Amino acid sequence: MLHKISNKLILAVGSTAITIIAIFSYFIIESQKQALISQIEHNANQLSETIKSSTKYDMLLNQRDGVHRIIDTIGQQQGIEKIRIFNKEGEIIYSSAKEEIGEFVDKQAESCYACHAVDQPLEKLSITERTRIFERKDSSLSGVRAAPPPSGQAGKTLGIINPIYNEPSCWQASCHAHEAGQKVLGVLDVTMSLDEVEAQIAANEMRMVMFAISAIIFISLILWFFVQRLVGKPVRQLVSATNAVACGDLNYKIPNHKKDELGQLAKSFNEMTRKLADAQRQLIQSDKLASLGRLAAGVAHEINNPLTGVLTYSSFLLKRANGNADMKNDLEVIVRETKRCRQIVKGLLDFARQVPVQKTQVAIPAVIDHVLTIIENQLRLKKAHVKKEIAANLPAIHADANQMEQVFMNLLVNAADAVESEGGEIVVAADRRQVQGKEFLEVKISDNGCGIPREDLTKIFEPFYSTKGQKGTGLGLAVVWGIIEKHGGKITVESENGKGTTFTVRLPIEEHSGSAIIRERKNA
Amino acid sequence: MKTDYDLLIVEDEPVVVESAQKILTTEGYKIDAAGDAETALQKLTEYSYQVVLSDLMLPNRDGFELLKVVKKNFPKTQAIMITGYATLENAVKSFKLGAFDFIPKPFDFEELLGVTRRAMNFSLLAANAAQAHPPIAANGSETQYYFLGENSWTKFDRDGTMVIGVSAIFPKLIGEIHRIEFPPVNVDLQQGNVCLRITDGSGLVHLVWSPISGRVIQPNQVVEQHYQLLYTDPYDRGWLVRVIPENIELELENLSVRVN
Repeated sequence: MLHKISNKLILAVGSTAITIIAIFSYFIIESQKQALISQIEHNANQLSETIKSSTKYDMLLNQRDGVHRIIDTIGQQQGIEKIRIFNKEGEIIYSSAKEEIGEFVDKQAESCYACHAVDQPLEKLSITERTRIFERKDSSLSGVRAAPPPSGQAGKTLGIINPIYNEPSCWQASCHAHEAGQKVLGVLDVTMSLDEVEAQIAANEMRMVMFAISAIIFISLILWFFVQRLVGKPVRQLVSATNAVACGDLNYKIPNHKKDELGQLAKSFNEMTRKLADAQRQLIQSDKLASLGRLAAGVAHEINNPLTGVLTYSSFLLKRANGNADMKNDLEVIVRETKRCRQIVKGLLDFARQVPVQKTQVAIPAVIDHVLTIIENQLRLKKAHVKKEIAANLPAIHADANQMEQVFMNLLVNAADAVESEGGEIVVAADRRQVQGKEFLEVKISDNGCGIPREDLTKIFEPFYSTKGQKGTGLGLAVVWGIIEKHGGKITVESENGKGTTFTVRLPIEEHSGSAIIRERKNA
Repeated sequence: MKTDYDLLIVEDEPVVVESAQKILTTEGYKIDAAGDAETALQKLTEYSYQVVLSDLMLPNRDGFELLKVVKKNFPKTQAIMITGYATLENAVKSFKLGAFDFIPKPFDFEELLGVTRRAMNFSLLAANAAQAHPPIAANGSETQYYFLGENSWTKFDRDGTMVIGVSAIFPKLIGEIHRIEFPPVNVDLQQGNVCLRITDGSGLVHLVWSPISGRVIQPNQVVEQHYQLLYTDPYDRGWLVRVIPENIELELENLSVRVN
């Protein structure tokens, strides 16, 4: 499973997404947290200032009840844990938790530490220095039994201390409680619950996690879908195509490929199998021709001896049968038919004989013209009309003139045989053509005759395949094929049953002269 | 050594031996036969033969080897090679090794007897070398003639065409010419394949091999009317067929050149 491209991609993209979203969420949540806490800080500070200023009058008048009432009233507000006032000695003189009043706090306790960390107590503190966040359970004020939180649960609290400075009104007050030399008279300590903030942050975190999970699932799904579509399907097609080709099905085609890289791969795969199939066909064909040639030669040589016996005896008898007209006639048939056999064997040997290709510069249009004059009678008999569409200034090609003639003779005779006795038309077209950067002379011979059934198209170049019954040897097109192959050319056929057939011959146009080749061969 | 036999047939195929023997014996020749080259050479040392008719494809030593020994050791004996198939290579090689002529299988009565009679006649003429190889008495210009054995010749003519004829000895060996079958115009001739068929007075067929490949453009109509030109002027007015040659540069090398 893990070896699949889609899964690997999903894994890679998924983990990248997780990392990015996690970092992103962390910073978002962190900044939200910061913002919320400073908001609370600010609120707490304001509150403590409010308490300070609202209790100031009662303090000056030394009306402790008033101070208590104010602190109690404010302390009841939601979110406020407790409000305490310490004096300089650390005694809790006012507190929203009544049982604490009169107790002393350690100067090392969190409320006092900010100022009393150094030997000489600081008198001015910034708001952040005055603020502290601590776990509710471990009481901030050592030595003081911490009050259980109202909710009864563990949680964070924010405490803010606000020093109460000595003012002229304090030492000029009627009670004369404070001396003019004192700078700090006590500390107002407000503790606020962070539960709500914590809950909000937790909810945010939860939302973020949910968002991240759903984003990853969504990205994975989209990724999976596209990978399946763009990679999975074409790759599966390619795999099944290679399997099919490996099993020998060279006609397998990958259907409707796209224009992306995999589509190009599929296209070149199709091209490759097509070429492979072509090469294989050619190989099979040459192999067949070669082995059939050997067979034909062998058979012909073996048949020649008995044929000699038949021909000599029958012609000898014929010579001696002058007096007997009946016998003479019969013997004439034997001699004639044996001579026909001789022609067939000669044809077979012609086919089998590896005639060396003797190449010269050959003007194909002239060859075609010559062939047309030779088969003129045959064409006239068929009333076939021949239309020539031969381009001007076609170059001479390097080929064996006799064999070229044989090629066009066979093709034109076939065309003449194929057309109906009325309205038959044969088109001979010749022109230059560029195929894969190479220049070819292309000759098309088309007829509007009976056509070749689709299932026979692959067989027509095979030796001894004939549609002409007794009339043909079935070697014509095989010979044509062999000649074209020896010349480095190609012959293809298109046909529609009942509509006609087109043979296309392509012969390479080479750029050197025939005489040069002949000289080379002489020297060799 | 007295003349014991007219002909020695060297052939490993019984039916060919039997038929040839029957035909030639009926015609009055004295025939001997051998199944392979060794037996043939043995017989050649024991008896004398005017003509050896040998297959090219023989077991062990082939017909070419036999031909070489015959031409070396028994120069007066003429050799006719029987080939499985008329090919340029066989024809040229046979003629180069000194064969009188060759005959492709399967042959008929007339063809076999035709070539045998010519060989027998040649063997008689060969006693007189001057008669066997008469000089090319033509118009005096230095024309090059290219010969395919004792059979046919060709030479360059006007407009890049070439003309084909038969050697002077050929009609003499035939005797009376009854009919000449010319190749049709526009047909392609192949070097070493049949060019013309000459039928003599007694109905025997004599094959004239094409010395070059080319397209027939014109038969000599004068000769068509007057066969005697072949006897009187075989190298000039007695030409037989005009062709457009196709591969002269390669093919002329296979022929032997004689200059007038």
